[in-house]
Amino acid sequence: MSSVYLHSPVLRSALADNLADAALAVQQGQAAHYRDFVLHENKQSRRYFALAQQRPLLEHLHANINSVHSQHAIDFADCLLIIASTGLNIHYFEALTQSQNGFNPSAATPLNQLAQTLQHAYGFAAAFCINTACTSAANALLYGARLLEQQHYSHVLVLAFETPSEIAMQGFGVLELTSSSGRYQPFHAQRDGLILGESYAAALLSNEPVMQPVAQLLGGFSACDTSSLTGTREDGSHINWVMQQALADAQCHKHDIDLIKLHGTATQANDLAERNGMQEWLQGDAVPALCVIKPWLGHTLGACGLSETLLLLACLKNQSLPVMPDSQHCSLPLVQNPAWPLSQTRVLANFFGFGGNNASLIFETGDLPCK
Amino acid sequence: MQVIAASHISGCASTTDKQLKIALQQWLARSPRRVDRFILQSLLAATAIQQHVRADCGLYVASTYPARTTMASLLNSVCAEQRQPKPFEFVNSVSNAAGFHIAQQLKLNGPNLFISANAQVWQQLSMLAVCDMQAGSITQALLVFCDDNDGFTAQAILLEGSPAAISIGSDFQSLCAGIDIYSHNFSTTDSTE
Repeated sequence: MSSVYLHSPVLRSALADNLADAALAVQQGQAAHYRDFVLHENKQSRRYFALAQQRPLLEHLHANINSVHSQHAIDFADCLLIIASTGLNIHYFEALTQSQNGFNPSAATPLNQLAQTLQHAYGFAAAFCINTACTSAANALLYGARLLEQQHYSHVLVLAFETPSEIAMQGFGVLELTSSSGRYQPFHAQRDGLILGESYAAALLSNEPVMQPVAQLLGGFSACDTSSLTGTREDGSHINWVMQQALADAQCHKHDIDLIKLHGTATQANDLAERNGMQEWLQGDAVPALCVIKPWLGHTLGACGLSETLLLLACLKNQSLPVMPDSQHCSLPLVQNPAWPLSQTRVLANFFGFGGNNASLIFETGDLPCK
Repeated sequence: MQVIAASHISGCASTTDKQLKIALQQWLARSPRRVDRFILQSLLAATAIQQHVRADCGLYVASTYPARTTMASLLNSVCAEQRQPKPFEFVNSVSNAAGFHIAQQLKLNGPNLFISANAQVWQQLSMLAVCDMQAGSITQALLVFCDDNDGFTAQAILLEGSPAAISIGSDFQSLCAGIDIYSHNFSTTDSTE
C-alpha cells in the first residue's frame, strides 16, 4: 500500500477531554474517570470508564468534526466520511425503551442515518458506517487509506466512537468477560476481564502530508478467522498470519518494528491467543517493545482502532510509553520503562473482534514531511 | 473485473424464519444454529452462488437496517425488563455476525467487512472490494446486500478478474447485466416450502 498521512487527531475519553491531556495523564499515572453499574439478575457490580461530563452523541460528533476542521480546513466536498462504531446511536433506543417500557422493532432507524445526517450537515462527498466489531476503526483507517490510494477522494475523515451502552455492558457481562475486580490488567497473572470505555475520536487521512501529520499509515491487513464468532484461534496462528500480511502490505520486515501495541483485552481467550501469536516475534533476536492501551481508556470496542492509536501516538510524541503497573507479572514482556528514546518509531498495532475479525496496522511516527 | 454469478432472494414480512431455514437446507448440509433473520437472509443470498466461490474471496456485506427482531429482543430484555440478554442474541447483534457465518459456511479466508447501506451501496461495496483486489490479497469478491423493511430483499454478486478493468456499477441490475441471476421469491412460493 502507498502510505498515507494521519493528522488532525481528536480524542475525548474517560482519561481526559482532549488528546494532549490524555497523553499527559498516562505519563503522570492518572486513572480514567469511571462509574460503576450493576449486572442485571446477578446484581454484581462492574466498572465502566465514562467521560466525566455526559453530552448528547451528536454534540460530541459535531465538536470532533469542528475540531478536525479547525486544525486543517479542508473542503469536505472532496472528503469521504467513515463512521466506525459498534453501537452507533443505540443509547437513544435504550432511553426510548426505558421511557416507553418496551421497544417496537418498527421504530428501528436505518444504519446509515447518522452518516447521512453528518454528510448533509457538512457536505461530505460520501459517508457510510463500518461495523466489524472491535476492528471497526482499524478497518476504517485501513480502507480509508486504500480508497485514498485509488484517488477516489482527497481526504478521508474517520469518526470513531462508543457511547455508554446498557446492552454492551450487560452483554459482555452475561458472557462473563467483564472484570469483577475493577482492575484492567491485560496479560497479567491476575487479570479477570475487560472494562468497557466511552470514547469519541476523529482523525483525517490524506495522501499529502498537510499540516503536521502525527503518523504515516504504512499499511495493514484485515481478515476473518472463521473458527469462532467470539474469538480467534487459541494457538495464535491467525493473529500471527494477519501480522505477517500487514508487514508485507507495508513492505516492512519484522526487525523494522520498534513497538507493538497489543489488543490486550484481558479476557482469557484473547490474551492467550495473542500471547501465542506473539511467540514467533519473541523468539527473534530483535524483540520489539510491547505495550497495551486499554488500562487507560477501557475497551472502547469499535472505536479502539482509532482511540488507542491516537493515544499511543500522542505518548510517543512526548517520548514516553504507557507502562501498566505490576507489568513484570505478565505473560508477555510488556514495557516497564516509560522513557522512549526513539524520535522515529515504527509501530504495529493489533485489533481483534467478534465476527472473527483480526486486523493489524503499521504506523511510522517521527520527522514526517509537512507542507 | 466482472460479475460471474448473482442471486436475488425476496420475501414478505410474513415469510417466517422457519421458511428461510428450510430453504437454506438445500444449500447447506448443516445450517448454523441460533442465528437471526438477517443472518438467514444474508446466508441465502450468498450460498445460492457458493459453487463459484473460492477461499481467497473477500466478503463485503451491507444492510439498510440492523437485525430488528434481535435489536428489539435485546432492548426489551435489558432496558424494559432489567434482565440479562441472551448470549447468542448479544453476539448476533454485531453487524458482522452475518459475514462471519457466510465466511464460515463458504470457507472464506479473506477480509470480512460490514457497512451501512445507502443509495450508493453497490458502488461502495465494489470500491472496497477493488481495494483488496488491488492490494493482491484476494482474487474474488462476494458482495451481499440486505434490505428488510416490510418485505425483504437479499442480493449477492460474485466478482473476479483484473481490478484494472473495473467497471463499478451503481446498482444491482446494471452490475448484473448479461448475467443469469439466481432468483427466489418467498412471496410466490407455497408457504409450506
